[in-house]
Amino acid sequence: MSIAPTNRTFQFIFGILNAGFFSFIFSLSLANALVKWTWLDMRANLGAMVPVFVGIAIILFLLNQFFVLDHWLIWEKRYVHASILVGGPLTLLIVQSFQWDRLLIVPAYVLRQGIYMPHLSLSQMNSAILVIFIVGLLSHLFYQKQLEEGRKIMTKAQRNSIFAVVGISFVFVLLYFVQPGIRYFINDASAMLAAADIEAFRDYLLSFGYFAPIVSALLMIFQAVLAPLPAFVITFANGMLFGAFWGGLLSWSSAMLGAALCFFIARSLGRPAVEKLVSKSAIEMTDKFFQQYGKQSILVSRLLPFISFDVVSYAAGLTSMRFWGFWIATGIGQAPATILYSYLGQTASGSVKILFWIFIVTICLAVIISAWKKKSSLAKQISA
Amino acid sequence: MKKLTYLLLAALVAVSLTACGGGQETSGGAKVKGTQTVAAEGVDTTEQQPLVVDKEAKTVKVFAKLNGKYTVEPTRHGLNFHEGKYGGQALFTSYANQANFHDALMAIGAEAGNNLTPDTAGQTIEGSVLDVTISWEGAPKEYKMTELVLDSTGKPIEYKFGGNHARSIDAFTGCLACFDSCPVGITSNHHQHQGAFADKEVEFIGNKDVLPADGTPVIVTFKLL
Repeated sequence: MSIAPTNRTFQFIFGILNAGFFSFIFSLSLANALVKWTWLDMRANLGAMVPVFVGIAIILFLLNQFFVLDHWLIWEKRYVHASILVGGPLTLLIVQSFQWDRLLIVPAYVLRQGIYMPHLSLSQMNSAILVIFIVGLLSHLFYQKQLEEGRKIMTKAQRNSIFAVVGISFVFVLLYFVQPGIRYFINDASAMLAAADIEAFRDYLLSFGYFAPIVSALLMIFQAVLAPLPAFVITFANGMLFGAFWGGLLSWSSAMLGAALCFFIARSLGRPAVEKLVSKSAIEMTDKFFQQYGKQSILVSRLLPFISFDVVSYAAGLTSMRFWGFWIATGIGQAPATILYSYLGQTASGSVKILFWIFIVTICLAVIISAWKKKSSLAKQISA
Repeated sequence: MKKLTYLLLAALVAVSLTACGGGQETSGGAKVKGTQTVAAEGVDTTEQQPLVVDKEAKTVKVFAKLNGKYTVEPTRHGLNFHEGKYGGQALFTSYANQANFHDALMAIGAEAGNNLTPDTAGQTIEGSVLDVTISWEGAPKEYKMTELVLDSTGKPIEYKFGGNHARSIDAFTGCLACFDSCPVGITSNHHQHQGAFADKEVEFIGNKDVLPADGTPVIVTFKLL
């Protein structure tokens, strides 16, 4: 049953509630079924699946509104939402052995742990589940799918790359919230990087034994993609642990992977949005500029340490510049700093910080002076 | 041009001085993770003061709350610090940090066994024997842990002070008391060997016929025998 839409805003709100409702029922029943797997229950906060699934469903709904990716909203298919409506509650009943006291304890507890609200009582959680169920069901009844027409400019490749980015992000976020070991690992490493505590970070990497290079590379990619953390701490620590050559190579190659990933994310999600939002002539003008000067811009920005490595990679992905041009310029541009930081890491003397800052000042001055000279010669040419 | 260069240099020097001045504490030994809950003496055990030691009576009291889920599902965690990785997986959620709990047991003269490692599966925990009792408001009596937990093999639950100080800080599982012998938990049950729960040889479920409702504050007392 559904009623004719009278207001676009209401339809939008009902759409979000509908997405949240079906993902809620599905993930809550899935989490309860997985609790029966004791090995997993002892190692994971399975309830955290609920907010992650609800979040991703709402994000998919919003992406659908913007990019018109209709077939992704799988819960809007009749047979899927019927299966969830019947299968979800039935799963809960089966895994709780049709026992009323278990039904009142486990789903409420799983949800409470998942949303990190230990101060709420189980009866409050049960009331919340009931309210969510009623509101969700009503939203579903009143929701009628309505898609924005817009400019359907998405190619299949663009759809696939959006799907890849959303899918990988979903897995990462799910692991982060569900598995406490992964969450603590990321939080500990981030805290050390944020504090620029090189010695502590080196010891931390050492604690992973043979896996230290892999952990270092993963953290380099993580800081590039997600967190505004200082990458030079990882480069220093790699130099200390693996020597200037191998440490430098590890830092350089993992930073290259991170840059490629940032570029790919921006190209997948940002570029279609830019194409949809900005006028055709503006896009053509900026694309022309980046085709002509893109590589040089990237090279110079990689040499300047006060320009964010990650922001440059994301920004480049929004332009039309070719990936290989971006990647080669990044590789050349980041090499001097990587070599120096790795060498300083290996020597690990007390003067490391002083040498580090002398290098930064020298590079900055060199780039600024060369840019100034070029500008002056251009001005002279124009006046002549 | 000159002005711009000077300005930039000044800014960079200022930034570098700030960065160099911001020293970080080094981690010489094991650095305790989570909120510190140092034991007090001569006060009531509450959520705000969750760890109380009585050197004369040789007891350590821990403030905790009952986790109702494990009165219907099995667990191997008896008492875990709520900020630890497995804080939500225990029958009782402790408000005391496991590292401070270790220090409190040392303060009453308990001797750590420190005989287990991750590679000693099949062995049992050693160390000073502890009598573990639980009480809550309205409880008819002070219960022994073994009266509140159903061991599927029928063995009684008896705790020993395993120690595992450094490992418990590194892993930060938050374990104060495990239901089978454990190389990470500060105390564990020496009647079940290491790996017994993981190998499905035994299950532990809170006795819902005796235990209070989910979320009820309880005081867990460890007495050195």
